[in-house]
Amino acid sequence: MSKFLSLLKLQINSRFGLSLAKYNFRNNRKELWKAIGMTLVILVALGQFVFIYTLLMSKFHGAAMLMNSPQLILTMGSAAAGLLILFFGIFYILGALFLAKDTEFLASLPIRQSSVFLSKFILVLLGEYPIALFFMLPPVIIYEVGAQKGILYYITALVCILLLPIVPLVISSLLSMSLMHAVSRSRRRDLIIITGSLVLFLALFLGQNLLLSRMPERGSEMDLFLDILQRRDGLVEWSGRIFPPSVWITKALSHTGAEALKNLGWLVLVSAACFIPVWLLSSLIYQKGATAQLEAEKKTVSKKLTYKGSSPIMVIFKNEWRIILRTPVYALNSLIGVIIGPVIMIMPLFGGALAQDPDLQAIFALIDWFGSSPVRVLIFSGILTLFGALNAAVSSTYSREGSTLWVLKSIPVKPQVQAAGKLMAGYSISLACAIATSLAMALSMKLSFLVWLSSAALSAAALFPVCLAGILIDLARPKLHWNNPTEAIKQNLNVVLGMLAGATIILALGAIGYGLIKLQTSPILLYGVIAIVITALSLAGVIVLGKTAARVYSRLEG
Amino acid sequence: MLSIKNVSKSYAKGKVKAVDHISLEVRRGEIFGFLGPNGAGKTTTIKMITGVLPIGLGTITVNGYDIEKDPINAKMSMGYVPDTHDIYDRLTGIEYLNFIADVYGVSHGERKQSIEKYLDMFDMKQAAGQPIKSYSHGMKQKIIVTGALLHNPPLWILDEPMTGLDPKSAHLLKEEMNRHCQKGNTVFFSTHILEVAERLCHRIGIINKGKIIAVGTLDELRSSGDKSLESIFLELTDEGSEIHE
Ligand SMILES: Nc1ncnc2c1ncn2[C@@H]1O[C@H](COP(=O)(O)OP(=O)(O)OP(=O)(O)O)[C@@H](O)[C@H]1O
Ligand SMILES: [Mg+2]
Repeated sequence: MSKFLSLLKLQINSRFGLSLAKYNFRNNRKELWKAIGMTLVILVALGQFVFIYTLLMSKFHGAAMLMNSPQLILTMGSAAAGLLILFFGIFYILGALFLAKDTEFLASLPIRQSSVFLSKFILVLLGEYPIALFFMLPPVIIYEVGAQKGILYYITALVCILLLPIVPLVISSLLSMSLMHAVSRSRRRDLIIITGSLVLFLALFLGQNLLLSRMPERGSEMDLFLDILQRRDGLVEWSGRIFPPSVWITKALSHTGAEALKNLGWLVLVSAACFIPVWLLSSLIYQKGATAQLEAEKKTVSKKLTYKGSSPIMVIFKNEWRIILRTPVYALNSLIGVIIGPVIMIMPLFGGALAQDPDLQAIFALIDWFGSSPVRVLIFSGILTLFGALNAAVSSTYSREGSTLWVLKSIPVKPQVQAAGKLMAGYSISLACAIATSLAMALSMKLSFLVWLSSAALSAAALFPVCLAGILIDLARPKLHWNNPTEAIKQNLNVVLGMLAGATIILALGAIGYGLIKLQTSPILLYGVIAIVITALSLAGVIVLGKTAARVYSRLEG
Repeated sequence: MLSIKNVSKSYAKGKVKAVDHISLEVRRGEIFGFLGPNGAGKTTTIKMITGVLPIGLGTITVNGYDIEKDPINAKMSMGYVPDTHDIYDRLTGIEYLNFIADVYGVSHGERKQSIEKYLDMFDMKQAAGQPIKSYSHGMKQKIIVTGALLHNPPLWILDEPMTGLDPKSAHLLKEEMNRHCQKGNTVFFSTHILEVAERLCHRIGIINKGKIIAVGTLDELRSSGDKSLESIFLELTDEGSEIHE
């Protein structure tokens, strides 16, 4: 077998644990059933989202039909997938290509660095297909049902889905490779990796916003909209300007004959044209960036060693924070909410497309209309809690221990105390995110002090049971075997489940609040009931956590 | 076979040199022992030889190939046993070995023969079909050693190869090193076990704080009398630290 294929096979096998599954299938049926059960649970949990998304898309399909452009849903689906992959691709690429555990091993083999790059790129690409499928399949099917296109359409759709993640991933690769190349020349590596990738992330985000707000200079706004509505693909081009490949995908699928072929050709051509130069570049600079992370920073100034002691719970708390801050992948994934939340809230201040978006303005107007009523506080705190719940640290806290789990198991600190320390560390991150976001929100929406304070306090309280749910999920089924830290935090289902659990809690609290408001209860009663529910949830969670921690620890295997 | 010229390396552009202007020539047919206290720079040197770390300054050639300019050919001439046992947990032993054989371009006939030879030798036939995750420390080491040797390279680079091996396997590995040399090949290995170095090596290099402080045959190192390698080692590395402090 060629070296490259062999390498690719190894990477895929190891990443997805194929041999291990096969081995379990033969020798360890219990493991197998557990895996199958888990997959079912996840499919059901995801099923809800597929359902909601499909429903939404078919609503849009109906609306778009009225504007004579049913194909618009294809644009929306592919743009959503493309942007998501673009924004988060940097973190995947950094994790798989530069911060993986096998870098050293691969560097010692007689394989060209561009082959290593390619195999890892494909690995990341494979990991993106579920996202692409999730976003693309519903609109592809809905559109076909309406337009009756036949088999050739489905084949084209498959090709489009396969090509869709390439352009965004290539852009992320280019950015991360340049970042790592710069890092390999510097001394403060970890710091630069963390700040650098956050800056790149923000730049992509703002850049995209800029792309969106770019208005074609063509007469008045009225003319523009008439033009958009009159041309067959006017709406598609207008909405797709945020992610140009989505326009080609839409046209390749909705047109027939030469026009379809031309757009498919564009997609193929641009994907190749993006990929090839980056691949060639990788043969020059990939390895240097990858091996740079093998070298730890050595502080030349010899700091005095300190021998201060702390209480066990603080030790665990501090240790969590240290490891998160010193492992770029963890820092990025845990702290991203602290950055994204405030940025999204502040964005309207800078104008741009978001501020002019009529839907968003309608929402703002609606919120304003509630004045300082509890409804407003509920909505704000719901948003804040949602941002706080994006924190991946808490629901991967045991998974991140990986092969060093033996430390936790062997130290003379009760599992309950350890769980408490870990919970506090995770909760403090969520809290930081909620508070930072609330400050930005207060600034851009000119909230009164009271509204700000009650929203922040309410979300701080609600985040506690959310974090509890996260840590419980991770404690129940930690993912301890991984080859690179990205797998522990980013490609960890517990994180997804934790966010789902968080969203469920927020929805439940929102439903209770909505019900009470409908009943026209007084604000005091409203807040009182919500506080009681949160307290009850938290208490129950704490008790369950204490019980499970003690029980689960003995059977965890690192 | 292996030539290190004026090589220096400091980690992350730090001021402290992990390896400081070292030069070494290791000849064909020779077992070369690389000794030194913890943190002396052995692993760093070995990682530069094997192309894992970029060389800071200087050049390293393996079998006539410059490791930086012609890495593929240089790596093809080496078998490397690293100091860690961190390998793909989720693969089975045989999958790992087949991967290595593919990468080094070992034909099917040859690979079967040499994999079987080492699996038999290390008594790993049974375990080879199981995930590496289920291996003990020493079993992982055996699989890594097998992987490094199966393409029959002219130069073996072994970083503390005996750690974790049981006495019988360690003995077998030492015999294998001897046999390899007798065929005109070369072994370069680091170790902390001085008895092994004393009995096995044709020449010994001692590194301390990044600098080579002694190279030669055992007789050359024993400048006077009949000292053991242990006392030579202690004397030399002690003096080194006195000079530095
Ligand atoms: N990844 C790294 N990042 C930064 N410094 C390192 C790294 N690895 C080693 N060092 C430093 O380089 C120097 C040499 O280390 P090296 O690992 O080469 O020693 P060694 O001789 O192999 O020691 P041992 O006998 O303990 O294996 C030490 O000062 C060490 O602190
Ligand atoms: Mg070492």
